[in-house]
Amino acid sequence: MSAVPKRSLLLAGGGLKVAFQAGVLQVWLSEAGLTFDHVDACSGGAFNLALLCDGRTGIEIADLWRQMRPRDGVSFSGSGFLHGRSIVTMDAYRDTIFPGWGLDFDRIRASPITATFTVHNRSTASRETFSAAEMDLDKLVATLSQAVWFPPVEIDGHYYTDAVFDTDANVDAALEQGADEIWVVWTVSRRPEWMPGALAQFFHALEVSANGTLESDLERIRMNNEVPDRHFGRHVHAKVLRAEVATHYLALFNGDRLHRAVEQGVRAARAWCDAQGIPYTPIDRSHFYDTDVALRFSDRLRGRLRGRRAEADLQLLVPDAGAFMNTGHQRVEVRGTVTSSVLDGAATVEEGHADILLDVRSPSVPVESGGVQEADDGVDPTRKLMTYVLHLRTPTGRAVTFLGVKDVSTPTVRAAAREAMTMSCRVLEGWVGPDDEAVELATGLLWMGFRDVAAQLVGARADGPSLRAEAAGLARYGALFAGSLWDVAARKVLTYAPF
Amino acid sequence: MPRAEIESRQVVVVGSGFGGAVTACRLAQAGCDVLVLERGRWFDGDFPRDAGDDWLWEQGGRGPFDVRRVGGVTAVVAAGVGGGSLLYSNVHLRLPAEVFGSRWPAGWTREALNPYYDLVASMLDLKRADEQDAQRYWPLPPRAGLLREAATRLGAAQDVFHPPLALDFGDPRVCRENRFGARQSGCRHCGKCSVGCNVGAKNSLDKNYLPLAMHHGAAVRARCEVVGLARDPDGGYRVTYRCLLEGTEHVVVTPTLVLAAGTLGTTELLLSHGAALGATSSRIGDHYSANGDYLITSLGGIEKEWRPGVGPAITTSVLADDGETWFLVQDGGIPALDVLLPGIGVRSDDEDPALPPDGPTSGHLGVLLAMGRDSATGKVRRRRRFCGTRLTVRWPWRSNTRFYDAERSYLRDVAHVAGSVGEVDTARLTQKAVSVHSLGGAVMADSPDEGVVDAHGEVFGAPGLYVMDGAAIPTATGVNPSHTIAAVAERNAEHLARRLCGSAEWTAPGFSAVPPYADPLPVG
Ligand SMILES: Cc1cc2nc3c(=O)[nH]c(=O)nc-3n(C[C@H](O)[C@H](O)[C@H](O)COP(=O)(O)OP(=O)(O)OC[C@H]3O[C@@H](n4cnc5c(N)ncnc54)[C@H](O)[C@@H]3O)c2cc1C
Ligand code: SF4
Repeated sequence: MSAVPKRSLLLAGGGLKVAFQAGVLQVWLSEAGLTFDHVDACSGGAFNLALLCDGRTGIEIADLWRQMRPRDGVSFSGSGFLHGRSIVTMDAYRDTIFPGWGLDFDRIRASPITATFTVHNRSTASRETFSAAEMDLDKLVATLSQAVWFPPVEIDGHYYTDAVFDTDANVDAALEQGADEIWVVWTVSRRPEWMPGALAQFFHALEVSANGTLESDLERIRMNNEVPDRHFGRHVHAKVLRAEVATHYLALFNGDRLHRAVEQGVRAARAWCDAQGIPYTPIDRSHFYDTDVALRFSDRLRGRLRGRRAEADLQLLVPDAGAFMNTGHQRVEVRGTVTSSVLDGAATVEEGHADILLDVRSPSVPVESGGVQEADDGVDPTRKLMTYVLHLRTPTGRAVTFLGVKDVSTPTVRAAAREAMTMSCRVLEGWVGPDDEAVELATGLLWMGFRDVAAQLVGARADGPSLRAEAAGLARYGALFAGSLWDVAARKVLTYAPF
Repeated sequence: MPRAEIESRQVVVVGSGFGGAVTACRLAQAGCDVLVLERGRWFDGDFPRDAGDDWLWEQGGRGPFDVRRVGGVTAVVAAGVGGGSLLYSNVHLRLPAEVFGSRWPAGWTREALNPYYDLVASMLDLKRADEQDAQRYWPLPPRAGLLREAATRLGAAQDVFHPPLALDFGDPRVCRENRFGARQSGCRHCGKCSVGCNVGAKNSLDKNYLPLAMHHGAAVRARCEVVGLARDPDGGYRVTYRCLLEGTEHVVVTPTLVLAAGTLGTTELLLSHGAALGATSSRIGDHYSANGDYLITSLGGIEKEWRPGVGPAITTSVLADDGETWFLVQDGGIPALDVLLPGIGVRSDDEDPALPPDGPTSGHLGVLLAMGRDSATGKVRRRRRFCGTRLTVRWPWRSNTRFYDAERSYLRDVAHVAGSVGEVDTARLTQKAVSVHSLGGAVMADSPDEGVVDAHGEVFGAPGLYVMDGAAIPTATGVNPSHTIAAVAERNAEHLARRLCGSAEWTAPGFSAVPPYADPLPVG
């Protein structure tokens, strides 16, 4: 091994899921100041590599994604579809998104970064890489052009598509560059599910291929390390950061969802740095999405605590719709009353908040075997929690804590809707946090009737600078809500809601 | 009728339900010459099953069901040797102590009644469905788990319990003689308790108290309906009854007449003949209680099935207590009907008892019952109609609205939590009570201003005339009432036996050796 290990970064493909990668780049490059001797991109990873070569920093790349509106990239293939060339085209990316990013290919070609853009050359049936110095718009589009969806790109008489069915993270390119460390950011889904329908099956086939290739590449590295230097003449260390990202690869029209993927990347990469002991200085982007639109909802539930009738008449307050929808911190303020004889009557919420539709996170500690270290962000986007923590004052002056959880996880529409309307509750003595030890005064269940749901819809209010902004705020909240339920219950239609 | 032809008995008991069977048994054991007159027939493995069978009492007095639509109440009562024990759900629970504080005559407390409860418990071999040896052949049925789960989710896990049942939980494949000489076999979990058990797994009164009474010389005459009561000019009472088999009328005279024809039967006899018998109270028919009965049927339970056709009629109960009132919620079992259409009935009893039973149609139905302490302010009256007089009950639904609302809301919450897509709640529409637990009408009291009989069951103004059944219970019991009816009858029968046999020390044989039985109701 050389004195200073050579480090390669593999920006793997994953369609629009690579928004996650942008968040990781913010942390690794800008917050932790990590550097790489070589960067490769396959398929969607090329968005980020092009930006890097264009001279953008990690935080700049993340901010570009934070402003991205994915529907700007949609352009249908028209006659190309009829001829079976492709379903959509890259035209909107060529004409709108890339110019919007200010991509300058002269700058890219002059980039000091050792970069490889991995593509598949259909004409020679082989894998090829373009260096930064070779890049132009066509080659970038070729790297991104997923067969079936996008038309192949003709360059010098050869037809190119993206490389995903060959490789989605070009480990060989890194090895050729002499890498001792190979870092991979991987967003291709590994969820153990197999959904029906041509669309789902296409992407499953893609996942089988991409995951399979990565696995065998990692296995090669392990075997190399087992008998030192067997294949590559040196010990190679691989680090893979994986995540299940709650966006579809292609079918996505809602910016909020894409931005949440960026923030997921930021969170995952920071957790990863924490686990590795890599210091970083967080850059706060929490006000990036602020809209000045506040939202208010009524939230009425009835049911029982300790077997006795109980009613919650709550107001949910979203201080800023934009931040709420985009940062992944879906926290609302809660006011109102919870009434039950268990609480001596109508107890008032003195301080309360609820986290709405959060994914269940259980980040795995990085596991290392044979020089290959793997970590998973551990988000399960198919299970959503709504967690209420309310500090109540009862009419008799007692301080109690009300904890409520709605757990949406059953993958049928009826059951998921029911779960979204059902809250299991605990009442604890004193004002405590959700994980604190405290005397449990009661448990129970509250739920919304259809009338309560209607009241919530009708009673939704927005407060913002303009009617338009208010309406948009409400619509975005609706999309978040419906989209979250979709992710749980309508995965058969499309694994993640397109909105 | 010439005097010489008139039969004379030391004791005549009208009705063979809990009150009648207990009294007849104890008086016979005390050496009295007892005649029991029961309008219904013996059902020995002969309960109706097909649509064409005789289900109703009206059908020539052969059916076990007497559905009495009387004014504001539809009362379901049984007709047969064994009375309500033939159709009931085998549940035996004790009255919480506080209930005795209201309207019960002096001397009646939970403490005083406990030894008699123990006596009944030992006679009927009570056992909870969750006890280990009750689960030797079958586990608790699915609906028991569903009710427990629902209550737990509502935060009421601590209120769930399994009530004692008068059931034979032994080997379902073996038919054997019990200690009273009656043939019984183990429960098959077939869910048919409420239409009569044809395998003899219910410890109904025709399997214990009545055989014991007969063993001690009591005569039980089935299909003999009492139609007239009068004072005998020579003292005592004259009982006129119709033999339904022969279509003939007979008279029997007795110095000691025990009325135990059930709440409505006894009250009706007293309303018609009370004055002639010398009863002085103006309270006959008052303090009727439907015992807060409320029933809903939940539809659905898509993810989970209630499967009401599996397991004995009731296995599990929740004590709902909101501080103001309390009531019980229980899991109703109903036979797996192959839909009651002509020619199709309840599933056959012949199937292999080793196979767990199930119904083709009713798996997703949940029958949920509630009962509790209603106002007990109904009035049973006789009304003149163009076709004769008719019994009617004025039931103050209005003053019980809050109570029924509380019950309904709990039942619906349980159904909702168990995945119901809708509930059938007919009582809410009709505002009429449907009761299988009618009580009162000739209640015990300290004075004739308050009730009809004294603290020992003897009718004010009519010495030797007793009321020993549900009619004498002064308040709603809240819990299933049979246990209390039987225990009260035990205590009053002891008192009567002492009088009749002249020994102030007499007790039921083995009384002092009866072990205490723990009542599982979470309130005392
Ligand atoms: C479906 C069902 C389920 C039930 N489940 C339970 C339960 O689980 N637990 C519980 O505690 N209670 C239960 N009950 C109620 C219980 O059966 C009654 O409360 C109890 O039987 C009343 O006892 P009794 O002695 O007052 O009258 P009954 O048991 O009703 O006995 C009265 C007897 O008198 C006879 N009779 C009436 N009139 C005359 C007449 N004129 N001449 C001769 N004989 C006459 C009747 O045929 C009957 O056999 C249930 C009732 C029903 C219908
Ligand atoms: S469940 Fe069936 S066998 Fe058991 S007591 Fe009831 S009717 Fe008899």
